[in-house]
Amino acid sequence: MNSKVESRSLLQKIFGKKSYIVNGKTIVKPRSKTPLIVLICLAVFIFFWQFIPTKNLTLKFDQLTVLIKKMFDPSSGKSQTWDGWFSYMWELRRSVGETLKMVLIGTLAGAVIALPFSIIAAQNVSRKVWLYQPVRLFVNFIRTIPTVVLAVVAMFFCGLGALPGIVSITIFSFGLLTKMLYEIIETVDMGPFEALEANGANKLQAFKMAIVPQLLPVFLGYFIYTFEINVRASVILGYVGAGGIGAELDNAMSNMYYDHVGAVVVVLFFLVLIIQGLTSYIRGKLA
Amino acid sequence: MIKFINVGKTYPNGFQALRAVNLEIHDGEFVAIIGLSGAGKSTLLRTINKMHPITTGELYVNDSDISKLKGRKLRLVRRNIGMIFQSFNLVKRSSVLNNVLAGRVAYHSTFVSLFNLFPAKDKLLALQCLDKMGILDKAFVRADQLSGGQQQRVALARALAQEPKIILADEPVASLDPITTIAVMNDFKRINEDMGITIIANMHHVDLALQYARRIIGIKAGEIVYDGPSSEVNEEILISIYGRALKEGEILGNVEENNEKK
Repeated sequence: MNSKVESRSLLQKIFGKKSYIVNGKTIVKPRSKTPLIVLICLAVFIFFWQFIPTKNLTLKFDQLTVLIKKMFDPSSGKSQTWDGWFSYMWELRRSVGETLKMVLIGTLAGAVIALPFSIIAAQNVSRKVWLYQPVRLFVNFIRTIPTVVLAVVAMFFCGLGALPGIVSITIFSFGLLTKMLYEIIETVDMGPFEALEANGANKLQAFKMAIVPQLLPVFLGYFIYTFEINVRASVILGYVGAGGIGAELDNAMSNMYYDHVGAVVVVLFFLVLIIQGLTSYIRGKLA
Repeated sequence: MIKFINVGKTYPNGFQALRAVNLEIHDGEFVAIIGLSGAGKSTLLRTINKMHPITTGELYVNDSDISKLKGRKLRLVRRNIGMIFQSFNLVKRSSVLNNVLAGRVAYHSTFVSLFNLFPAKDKLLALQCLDKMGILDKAFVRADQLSGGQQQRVALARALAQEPKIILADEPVASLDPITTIAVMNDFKRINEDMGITIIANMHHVDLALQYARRIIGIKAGEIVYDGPSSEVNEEILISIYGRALKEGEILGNVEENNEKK
């Protein structure tokens, strides 16, 4: 055994190269970048730490408990009795239905529009820079617009109600799904595509026969994931006037019916829980 | 018939893969192309169906100058040329039958393949091709459930479903074990002899090439250094192709090397 590791000081151990001497030959492990990156992250963190206001920070926990008490105390609120509270909750089913319809239609429409755009945006299929770069730029531009802003703009065009909600969910889903889709298209096995082209298939035929089967399960998984994100986002959309359960929340808040707020929150909690469970079950089946 | 007249191929990065290639391959021949890795075997094969366009010279496939063809006309020529790959290039998530039907795509409009509207006649033809390859019972199994040898047979059935005049094979047995290799080479021989389909194959295994092909094309640094019957290949010719004499163990590309490729 005439192999050894060159001895070094502590500083060298952290930042330096490491030399192994094996049978008289030297092999050097290059300098690791990790310590440097850790140092930079630490410096950035310390720099931003000073912007967190700590001086006038007083946590009003008592206010929190007051609010929660109001949310679950029908006698002091709008519904007056627990019976009233539960029947209000039962009435929320229409808003929940509206939310789900809005989200489903919006996500579906977004997915349908995303498909052709992602094919053009995928470098390995379109192969032309002047084709895929502008599409990517456009998609990235769409993605910078927050959903709430989309909803407000949509309301200018379609008025209040479910329609602006559907429009903004469509646009949001389009941006998200296009980006996710073209990234998977770029990782598929191109061998079958080449084989199809050699058979005399045109690009569209080759894409359908060779790439779509590889894409389909992943695409469905992403679709369901987007649906789940949209259910949660739709609450905020309703809050700015796009209908659904969010509109109920807005209504209850602005009238200070805190017991109704509590009912909406409970319904939302279970809705999101059920959808999450359902989607992760389906996604598990697809994988 | 395939005719190369002074064909040259330079890749966009400046690499000259083929220089002044002159060749004539007649219908019904079984040709093996041998040479070192990077000598231009794959490029030569892929110029025939314009998967790699040539940069100089003329290349005729059944009297049409393939270097000038584009779009639909090119696809009609490709339809008559089957292609087999080292890694099979099957759609792994699709059924075997759908993989074989991929050989029929060029006979139909885009609409037919977009909505899987292949006529029953095509499905029967595809099943017949599978039967010819002895794997009819696998028709409705997913392609990734099959062994390497079976997958290469599916690829052969896909090529046969094209009803081709020519089959190009790019290292068809390089990722198969020695036993399966012999079986697949016998399939090629059968296809060549019974159906009269021209076979042009790139081969690593010199002894297999000599055993199965009737004609050998030796290629070195993009130039043809030997073109003649396999029975006349001797040690001197192999030296001119590979740069030095091949030792006993090197003639059948050794098994370890093949395993590495997987």
